[in-house]
Amino acid sequence: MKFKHLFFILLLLSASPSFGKEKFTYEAYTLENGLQVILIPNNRAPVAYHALWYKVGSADSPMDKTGLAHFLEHLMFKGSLKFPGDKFKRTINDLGGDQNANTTWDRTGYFITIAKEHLPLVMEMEADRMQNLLINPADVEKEKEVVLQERRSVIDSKPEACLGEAANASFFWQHPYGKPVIGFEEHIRNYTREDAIHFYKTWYNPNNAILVIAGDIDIPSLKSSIQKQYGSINPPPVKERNRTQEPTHRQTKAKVELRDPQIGSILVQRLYRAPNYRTGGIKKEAALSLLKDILGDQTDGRLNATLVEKQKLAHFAVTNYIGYFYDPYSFTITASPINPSELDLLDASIEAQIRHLLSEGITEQELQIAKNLWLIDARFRHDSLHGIADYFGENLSLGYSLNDITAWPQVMAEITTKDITEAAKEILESGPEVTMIAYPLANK
Amino acid sequence: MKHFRQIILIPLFFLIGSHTLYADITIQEFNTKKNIHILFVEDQTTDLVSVFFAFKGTGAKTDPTGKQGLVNLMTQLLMERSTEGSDRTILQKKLKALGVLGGFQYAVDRDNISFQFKCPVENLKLVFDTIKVYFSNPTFDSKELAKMKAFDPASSRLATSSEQEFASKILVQKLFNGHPYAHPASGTLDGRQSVTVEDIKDAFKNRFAQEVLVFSVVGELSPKLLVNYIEDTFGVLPEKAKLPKISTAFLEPDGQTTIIPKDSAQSGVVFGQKALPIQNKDYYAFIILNNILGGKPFTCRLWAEAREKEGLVYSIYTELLQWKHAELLVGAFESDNTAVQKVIALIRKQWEELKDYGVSEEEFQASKTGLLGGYVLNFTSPDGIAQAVLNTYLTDLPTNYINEHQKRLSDVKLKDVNRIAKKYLDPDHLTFVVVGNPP
Repeated sequence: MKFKHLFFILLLLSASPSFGKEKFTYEAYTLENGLQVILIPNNRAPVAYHALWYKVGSADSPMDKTGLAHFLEHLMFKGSLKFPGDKFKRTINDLGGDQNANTTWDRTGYFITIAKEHLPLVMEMEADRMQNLLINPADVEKEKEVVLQERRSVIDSKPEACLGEAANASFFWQHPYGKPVIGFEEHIRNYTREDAIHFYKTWYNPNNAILVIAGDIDIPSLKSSIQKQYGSINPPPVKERNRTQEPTHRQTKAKVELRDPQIGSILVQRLYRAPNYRTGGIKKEAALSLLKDILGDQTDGRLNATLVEKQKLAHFAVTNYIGYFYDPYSFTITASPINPSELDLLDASIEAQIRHLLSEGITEQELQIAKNLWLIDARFRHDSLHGIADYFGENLSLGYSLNDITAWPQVMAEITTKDITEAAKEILESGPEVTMIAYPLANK
Repeated sequence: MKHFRQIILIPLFFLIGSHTLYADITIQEFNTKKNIHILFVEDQTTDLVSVFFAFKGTGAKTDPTGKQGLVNLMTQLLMERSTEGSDRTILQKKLKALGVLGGFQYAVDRDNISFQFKCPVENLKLVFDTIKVYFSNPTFDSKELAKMKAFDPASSRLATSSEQEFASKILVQKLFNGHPYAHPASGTLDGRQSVTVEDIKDAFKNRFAQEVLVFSVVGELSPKLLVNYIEDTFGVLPEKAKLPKISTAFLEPDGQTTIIPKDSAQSGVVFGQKALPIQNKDYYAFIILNNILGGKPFTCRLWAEAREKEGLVYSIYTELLQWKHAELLVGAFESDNTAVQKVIALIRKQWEELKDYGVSEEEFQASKTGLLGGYVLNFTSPDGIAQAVLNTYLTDLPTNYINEHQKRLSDVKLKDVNRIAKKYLDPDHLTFVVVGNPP
């Protein structure tokens, strides 16, 4: 347990108009061993929220062991040196805490909400399973069965999920975003204990993690607890993420379909390749985020105004854009025709709306409405204990810097209609690379 | 020195119990001139206001025979369908622009019709002004009604619902045969087909009344202003409601396992028996019993047996359902088709073991301290507080019940839990419904 000095950055955010009526402050600093810490006081209830985010996800799993990151998430609940077997889970449960974890392609998070007086114990437990996880062979085999059942529950028995899996595989020929977060059944069956141990040792280190604590906390004593529990861990050098990047698809287009009796009505989704914050820059990500709302917000979007309200062609027509993943993902347009025989008409109508936007651009009014929504959305983040905590934790674990996060409202405020039209041209002009369609089996 | 040693000797769980901070929510209550009941909790840590409200006792159980689905259709039409002069899409856009980002939500369950929204506190008056339009002399459009009547929700059909959804529907039908609770809140296809616009107009007049309206609001604002906004918005409604009398449900679970064949990758299973009403003095012992049986994630009996030990399920749980005229102890799980019978056998075995042998001291203490310690977690958000306060009122419990909950739990003894396990666990009448393809 040796440290020469604690490199310490103190950042107190004072009230800023872009966050609305400022109801919180936070502190951010980094331990000498690289653990990034964010502390957010909130005394609405005598509760603390402890979130540990590891900067690794399913996309970092070996290509022949897809889903390994998610499997490790399961094993993290099977016992560590000081809390073996089910002692970890029992201890939190016995204290009335709420424990959860979540794996995506790019990060794995572990979340505990508990009465505030138990926070030091929670830190002791999380620090122990960060470094001293016990992975015993019997647990490995049993947990494989549990994960297979989870796959059955969330994917295999749900036709739309199966279709989504196939669409992703068509959209990503090489990049691991084309493999399911939970992994393929065949790969899950082949996991070994050594696979899990190797993955754990490689990625689960303090210099590859972010700790966020929010709630009824006393910062000075908390800081010394954090140093006591986490500061003594000496990590290996950080492993850099190394994903196979997606090659260019050139002009090829793919269509992925599924007909299934469990599908209630036709659903069609267009997937367009789009840059993310790292490949396109934060400004472009902001512009595309606003485009998403202007074009496809469920209430205020153009597609809703035309396809749903005016033309009565669709039940709904919405967009989605994910620019915050570690690697570039997609911009999508999803719609459901009211009349199954009007699918082509719906399609043509969407095309027309895109052409119109690309040639005429967007209006100042649309832009202001979209920007206003983001401002109010920021206020909703403070309403729960974990809202603002997860906002920091998740974004930092996806690779954003603290500066990126605090600068975002200003970046968004400065986006112009021209920025949006240019970004739209870049991603929408050449059409969707993949189109996904779900059909009910009996045509109604 | 001696004093210090004595403190260390006290068992850990007791120390933890004595440090648990008790819920201490200050609830202010008001009644308007025409008997709208308002519950208000001031919260200075937020600049949004959470508003929950309900028309008590007006839910799907009040559907007339032959018209199951009337209340649901009425509420859906009210909230979603545009009529001449009050375009719902315009109202939704207005609310969104005022910062009601989660939308103006509604739900029809068997007992009540509920609503909720959340908005920046400075826009509350304008939001109420917009909401007033929904409830002011709505005209119900027969063409819109026709479109809605034709819609059969996917969740109600075997082919298109999830296994567990459909199994739940069948179990409730079996348990409540003959009682208004038997049909889902969305009604039945036949029932919906027979609903007319006249039915809906009558239903609206009789249910949306001030005397059955209750509000639960959390935020930083003057309660006087809140009361004014509410009176102004809902003053247009009649004062008195006209509701049918609903009898207590007489449950006769048969203890059988019903299998509904469906060609699917997994089976969904739901099970249940009668439970105790919350007003019963043994209810808190039952809470602890349920927690040990299947309520506590990771370490409850069913999870330990079916998931940890055997790896047969991904999730399995039990819970206590409190409806106005019935109480149920229900549970559910999903598993591979081949594992179903094994899991059912495991569950039946646990029911019998708990009845015959009760729970251990260790299980009891762990469950109690967990429930006590976890209670405050319900109050970390204004929505959580507003919902808890409203639920307390809708369950006909005294307002301060929220602050007494932990004391009541704390007073339960191990022998109470074992006594009620013996008395109320009913393995012979534990009824299962399976949807899937078990061999």
